[in-house]
Amino acid sequence: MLAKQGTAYYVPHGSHWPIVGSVGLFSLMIGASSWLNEAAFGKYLFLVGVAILVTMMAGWFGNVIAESEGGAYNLKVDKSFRMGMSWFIFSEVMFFAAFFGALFYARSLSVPWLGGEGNNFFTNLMNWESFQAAWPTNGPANVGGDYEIMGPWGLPAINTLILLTSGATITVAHHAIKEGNRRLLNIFLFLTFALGFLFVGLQGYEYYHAYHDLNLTMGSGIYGSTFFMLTGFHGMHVTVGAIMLTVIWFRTMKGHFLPEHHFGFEAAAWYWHFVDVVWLGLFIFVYWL
Amino acid sequence: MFKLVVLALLAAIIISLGSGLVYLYKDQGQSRRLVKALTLRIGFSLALFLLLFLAWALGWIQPHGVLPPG
Repeated sequence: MLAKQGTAYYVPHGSHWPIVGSVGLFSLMIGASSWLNEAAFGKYLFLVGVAILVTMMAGWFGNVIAESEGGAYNLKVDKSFRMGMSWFIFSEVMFFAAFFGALFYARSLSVPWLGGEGNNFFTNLMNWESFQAAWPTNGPANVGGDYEIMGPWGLPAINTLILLTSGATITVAHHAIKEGNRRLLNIFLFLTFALGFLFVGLQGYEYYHAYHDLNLTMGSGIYGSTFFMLTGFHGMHVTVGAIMLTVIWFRTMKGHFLPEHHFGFEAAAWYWHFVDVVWLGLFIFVYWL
Repeated sequence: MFKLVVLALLAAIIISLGSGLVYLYKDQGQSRRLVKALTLRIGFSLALFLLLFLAWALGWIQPHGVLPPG
């Protein structure tokens, strides 16, 4: 650990994991899109992609953990990790900003325009005469047929509470790692990712409910597509965050990390808070405001 | 009016989360500023959720209505 660290900046050489990861991602995406287009090989290629990706994660994480525990990373390398993390978060913020932006644009600008707002009186008169702008909507053409919207009390509120609870448990775990209380750390970290996976499961059930009971689908006009795009990508991020926390939990169980030296934990914990805040934004803007 | 309170709390959440990222970068695990910022973050978030529930129960705020005529 720290005591063993040298002054040289550690640079890893000859890692084959980036190319393995690229091949895995390529197979996964080609497989997924072929599967969606009902090509027979799609499903199998997708599963091969998943297998390659899981192998890459296990291998790459394993290398990095071994280097960290072997004392290869000094404070300067640690700083680089934090800088990398910051850029990653910047890209994530931009990613979600674009999707929230699409929601706001549709709600506040393009749908009112179709209804004749601003200088668009003739747009409404000539194209969609009977359309009165409102939100939620599936547009003047009633794309996808009638549907019901997802109400906020019920599963979405339960899911919000689950995610907020996981935000509280990760905070307890964070205080515990700073105090050196390993038992508390292990228990609360476990609770955090368990709640995270529970959230993803319930989100899957919510989608099932939307498709089968509400006729709210990705084809339900602009409300349906923004709803599934925002909540879907968020769900993917929860999955990624929960995987990170699971890996970190295996490490804390093995006794890794010190109260003053635990970047892996800090990064995963901060990311978890970030994903939680994105959900809160979704809950408020999609369901309430 | 109540929506402004919701937005203000959301801003407080984002600021505490953002300050946490700054401490994550600067302090390199040597301080308690990150965990304090994140504790504030979850505190504000729980407060917002409870407030929303209360406001709904008291009729101050309504979720989006049902689908209007197309």
